[in-house]
Amino acid sequence: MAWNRKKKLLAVALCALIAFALSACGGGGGGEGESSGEAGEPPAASSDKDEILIGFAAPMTGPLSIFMGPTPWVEELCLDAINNVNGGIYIDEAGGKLPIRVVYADTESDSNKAMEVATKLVTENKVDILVGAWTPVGTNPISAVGERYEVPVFTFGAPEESWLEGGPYNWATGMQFNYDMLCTDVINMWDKLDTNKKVGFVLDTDVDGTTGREVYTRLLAGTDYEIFDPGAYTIGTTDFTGLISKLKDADCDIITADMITPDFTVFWKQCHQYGYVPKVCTINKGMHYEADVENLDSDGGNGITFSSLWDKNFPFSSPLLGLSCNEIADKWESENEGFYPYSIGYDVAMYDILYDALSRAQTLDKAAVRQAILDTDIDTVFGNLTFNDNQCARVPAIGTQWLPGEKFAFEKKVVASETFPAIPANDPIIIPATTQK
Amino acid sequence: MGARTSGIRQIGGAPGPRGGWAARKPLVLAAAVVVLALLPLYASDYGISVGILIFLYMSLGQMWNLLAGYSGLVSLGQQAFVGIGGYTLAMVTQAYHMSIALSFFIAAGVSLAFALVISFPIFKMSGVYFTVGTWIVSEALLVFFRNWAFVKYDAGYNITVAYRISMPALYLGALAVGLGATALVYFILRSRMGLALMAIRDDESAAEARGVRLYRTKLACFLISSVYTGITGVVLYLNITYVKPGAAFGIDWTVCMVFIVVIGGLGTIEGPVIGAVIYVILRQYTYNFPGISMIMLGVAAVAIIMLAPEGIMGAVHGRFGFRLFSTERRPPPGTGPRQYPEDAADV
Amino acid sequence: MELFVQTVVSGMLVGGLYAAIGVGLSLVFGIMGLTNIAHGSLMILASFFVMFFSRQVTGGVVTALLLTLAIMALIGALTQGLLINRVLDKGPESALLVTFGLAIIAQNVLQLVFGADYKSISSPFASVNVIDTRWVIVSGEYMVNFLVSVAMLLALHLMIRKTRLGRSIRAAASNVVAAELMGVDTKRAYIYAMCLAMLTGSMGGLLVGQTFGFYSYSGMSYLIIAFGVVVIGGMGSILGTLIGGFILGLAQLLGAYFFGPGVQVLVGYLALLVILALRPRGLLSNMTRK
Repeated sequence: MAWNRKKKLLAVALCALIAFALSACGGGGGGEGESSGEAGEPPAASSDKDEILIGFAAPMTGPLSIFMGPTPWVEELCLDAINNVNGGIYIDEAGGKLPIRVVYADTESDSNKAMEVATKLVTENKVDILVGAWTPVGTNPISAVGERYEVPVFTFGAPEESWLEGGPYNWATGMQFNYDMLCTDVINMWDKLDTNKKVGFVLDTDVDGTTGREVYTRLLAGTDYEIFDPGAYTIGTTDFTGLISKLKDADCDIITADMITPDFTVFWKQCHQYGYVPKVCTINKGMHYEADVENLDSDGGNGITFSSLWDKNFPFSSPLLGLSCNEIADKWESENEGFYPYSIGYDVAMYDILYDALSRAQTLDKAAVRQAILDTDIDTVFGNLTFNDNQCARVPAIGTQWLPGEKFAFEKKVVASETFPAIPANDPIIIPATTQK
Repeated sequence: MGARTSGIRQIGGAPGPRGGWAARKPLVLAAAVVVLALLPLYASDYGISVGILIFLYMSLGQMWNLLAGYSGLVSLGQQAFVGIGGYTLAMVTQAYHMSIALSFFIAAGVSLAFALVISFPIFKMSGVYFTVGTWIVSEALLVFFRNWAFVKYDAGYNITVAYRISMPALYLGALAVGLGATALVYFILRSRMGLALMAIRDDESAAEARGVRLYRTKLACFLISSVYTGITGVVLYLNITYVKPGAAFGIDWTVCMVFIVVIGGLGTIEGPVIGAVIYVILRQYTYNFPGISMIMLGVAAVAIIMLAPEGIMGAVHGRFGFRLFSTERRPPPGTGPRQYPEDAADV
Repeated sequence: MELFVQTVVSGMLVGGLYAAIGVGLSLVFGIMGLTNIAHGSLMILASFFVMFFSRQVTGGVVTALLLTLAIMALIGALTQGLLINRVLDKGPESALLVTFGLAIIAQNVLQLVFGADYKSISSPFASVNVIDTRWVIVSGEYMVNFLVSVAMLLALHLMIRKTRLGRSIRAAASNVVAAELMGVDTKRAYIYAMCLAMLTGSMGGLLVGQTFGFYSYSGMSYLIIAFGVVVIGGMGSILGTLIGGFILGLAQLLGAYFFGPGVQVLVGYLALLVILALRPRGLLSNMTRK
């Protein structure tokens, strides 16, 4: 008999375990980890709320976490401005000003996890606005969660083209760069130099690589540039002998590469070893950070061109912080180590836009917040931003070059900005003396 | 593989009379299914979303267990079939705008075909060679997808039709997949093939000597597991809504299958059920600590396996000597201690 | 034709490095039948140690390497003695999960401590070409990688064959029961084997750190290379690992030569699978377990 009872007990326990687990989760117990976890009491109506909750599903670990470097610094700066200097944001149903709090969730740079953590932010933490960032892996799954649960979503840091693949969006908004504009300014850089106009593609098969291949091919058609495409390379290639000799044989003066940092570092080193250093090397994705450029062997970083997504020479300022781009970058460099990362611009612009939208909405009603974000029309660190019919606000991607600097080993110079003429491109573009073929 | 010496492989506990429980078990289980199926009526959105994950991971775990726990095929490559399922869904609904239902059939067919093709080389390998061979196969498939124009290379797909699926409906789908996997494994083990599997598990060469057709039995398991994993992949990506080669064919899927099965209890039906609940709840809990959540998961995995090296079901079974879903063949009452698995010959 | 010669030479040289990455795995593979998923991440751990010590503590790569070797041997002994030995006889799956756990812990702790950015160890040989002719160009770095790898593998091979320690390790590998009856402490032999694996892994970590650079999570991408060269060589066979490295390196580069750079990595994997289908126990598997 004891045998039977044990079995029954286990059967019931097993079902109870599942049911309990599910309803415990349903109760939102354990919310922030430290909260006392009164299970079964989700924060009910928004009128009871004593804060505005922004859920940031961010790549805090894994390959994409490189973008997150300045995020805590910017958060402290901006939340101080919003909560302490301005005293919060007036919300009608709360009858007063509420502070903003940002709750983070780690996507681990993985689109599967991104969806899981964003769902948790929306359904358990019940965030008022969901934020997702950096590359399609960071923006597309988060946007999908917003569409599914009908929560306003703000995403940034991906190509507009690939973000829109997940649309048409209703609840998701994006602050993205546009690949057509990016490539246009890259070509503008090449135009300024004396080359044989042969362009070699070193593109991977990722979103940036495939989009870049399509856009460059379209934009260069009918010009006197000649394209040489040796075929896409696979991420994680360790030896580029074949690729380099093809580029060398094709006599390309220009190469445009879309490579992650380790791949480009190996590729560029092997280019030097095989005596092939083209006059112009435009590298996207891999060489956004000064430390990476400094890491390249034998002064290889000198003169590398790339398309920068934010620069301290942007003649704009943040309305929330009251600081110009130059001041923000200087503040970063004085309080942190190293050259300012461009992702500061995106982080600051996010707070600019969300603060402005919530201030106008004066409510946490989801539809009203969504509409307020879409109605945005403010001057930010990217200049004036508005959202188009695809719910996307376009930010600049302009041509820049790494050249030896005074304060740091390399500094970034703006050399082409035809797509955003408001940004001055005063520095001349240079063919570095190390070029050899 | 060699002979296994662990306690859970032996059949323990007194046989006991087969009285009320056996008669009432179907009723209790049916009631449990009804309680779980009605969950959307009483759980929050969050509870439903967690339920979806539990049942989908349960399915993955059951299918990996069918390979590793019962057939001795420790695969590190089952993520290939998750990816096939996810990409089938993306291609059918996004590229060709056909119905979601169709993708289940195509995913099953493609998984079956792929499993059949790769079974020729990888079934020549055994032990760790099989383990690594399967991983290389799925890694090769990942690289192939990244370079395949038909699936837009590495760019990935948003599965936009899945935005509008109601979560309770998705939950019921996941429930069906998860419980279906559990039932499938149960019935396989109660069949003649199950007997053969048990014999293989306990002593491969002895089983072969007694007439078990090793190759055919293992291949059948591999095909069933692969097809069902592919189908699970479709539902997984109905939930995730964004498919990209690196994530779809990522080794992370297999890490979670291994975690679920080994923590729950290898070679037991209850193991993957318990393992999936623990895995999903643990993950949801560690998400509250962004930045160190993976460290917590890794520490938990090592700690649990040190405390219960045979998984939770192994520990429970070793201590109390019972299991919920017995897949044993029982001799007629009163025939004394059973001889097992030698009785299970001639399959 | 020049390109073909260059391709073959580069393939052999990079293959030597692959063998250095894989050989530690081959040891633990052959000796205790352990599928050590943590091998790649522990190798990257060694890369971080070398980088950190050479920049912050000693100032030189050689002393940094010696420090790293000592620490990694200790880590190897601790993980084997405290964790892996305790689950090894419970079947391969438990050990698999433990090494998965270790890999996850290692790479995430590294990220927590050192951040997510790309790191590399500076190499004095990077910008020098030791052979520079019309037919073939070989960089100092590749040459050093190759020589160090081959020397290390030969030394290891001799050690396993000729020394007392090597004999006890081999005894534990071929028959656990018999070895224990003859007075060999197999668990201790496993610890020695893991220490050896960690030492070779540290060398691999140094070479990889100089040649390719690394992130905290690079371990998994090197792990698949390591597994590949070890299984085609035959587990437990050190010379087999070297041959496996050459095969993988050549297959990748010749794949790029004949079919274009896009399929370079894919051809490598396919070559591994073809060889495994023809020789399911690897090319040179002389150690048979149980």
